[in-house]
Amino acid sequence: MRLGGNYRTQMWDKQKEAFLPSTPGLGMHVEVKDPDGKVVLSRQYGSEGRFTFTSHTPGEHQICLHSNSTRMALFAGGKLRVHLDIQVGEHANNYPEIAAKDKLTELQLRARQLLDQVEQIQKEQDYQRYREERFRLTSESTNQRVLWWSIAQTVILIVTGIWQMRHLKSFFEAKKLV
Amino acid sequence: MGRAPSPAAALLLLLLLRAERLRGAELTFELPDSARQCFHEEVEQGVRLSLDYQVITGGHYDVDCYMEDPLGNIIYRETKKQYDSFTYRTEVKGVYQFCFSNEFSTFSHKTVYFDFQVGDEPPILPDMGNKVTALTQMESACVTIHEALKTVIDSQTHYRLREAQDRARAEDLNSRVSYWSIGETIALFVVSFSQVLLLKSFFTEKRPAHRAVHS
Repeated sequence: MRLGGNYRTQMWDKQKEAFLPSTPGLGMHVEVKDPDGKVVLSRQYGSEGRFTFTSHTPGEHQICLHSNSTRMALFAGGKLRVHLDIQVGEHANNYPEIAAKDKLTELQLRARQLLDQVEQIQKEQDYQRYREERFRLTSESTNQRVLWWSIAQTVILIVTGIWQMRHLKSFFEAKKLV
Repeated sequence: MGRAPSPAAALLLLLLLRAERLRGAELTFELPDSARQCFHEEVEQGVRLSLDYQVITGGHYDVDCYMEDPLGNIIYRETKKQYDSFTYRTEVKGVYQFCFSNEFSTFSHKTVYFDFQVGDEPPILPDMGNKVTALTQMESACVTIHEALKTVIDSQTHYRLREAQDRARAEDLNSRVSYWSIGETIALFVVSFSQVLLLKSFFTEKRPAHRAVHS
């Protein structure tokens, strides 16, 4: 699934008590991690940027943005306004661009949008199927663990009880109390 | 899905979602304990906006949420909700703010999903909206199918979130069962061993007194 994001930053100007229209010199570092924790995208952008990536593994991806500017640290009580826009799947497509590139009529473009939506639905269904399998494995593992543990606990209890009695019996016999 | 960075001590990050060329934003973010995360959006007057949110992981799966208009009036406030949906027609133009608060929790950080929609969906080609003639049958069929597919995608999103929530609970249960069984095995051995030792110690001490009685 494709994911596109773009952001814009604005720094708070304490003298003017307003946000500056743009912040030159301020960079943002964008890092994207896939569900296994592997870094998929790690790039430095300026105060405005646009990033895209395609996911290869289903699951929870992590998108982190942090500023790299040391100037910010000097302003106590400084504020940074971040405009963030993240689009996933079909929403990440730029339809005017697609229409121009493939020379589609309006109706063809609408049909293309519907096809993209259906593709997104299919991908989501595949994802759910994969998830259901994992979930079922986890539940069955829990079930097994509870079953084996109950049996093991009973066995341990009986064995410990027998050991206790035999040990104490031999102890009392040794002490000539029995 | 994305995670917003936690605010540093000296900076306050105000996240503003762009609504210029699209209808809104969906975001899944991590809300640390005793923290509040706010989002802002610039909205025109007379526009319909809607907010859906759901807590996916963490604690009792609940969060506080409130929404303020540019004049500071609270237009929506709920405490300890697991999921909710809210629509509102704006009366004032300006920056609207909605916040999620986890301040009532001291150690569980939460993952919250929200879907914020502003206005109606813009057409995919800029000049599509300026139609003077009515839509042809093909075009209105496309519009109907598009709306239906949007409903499907929305309900798929809710299923995906439900599944994530249930999976988090199931994995938590699985690990708790493991730890508890290991812990109980250890406790069992410790208790049975110390019972025997204690009993033995009773009889070892009494022995001199026992002999004293006999002699």
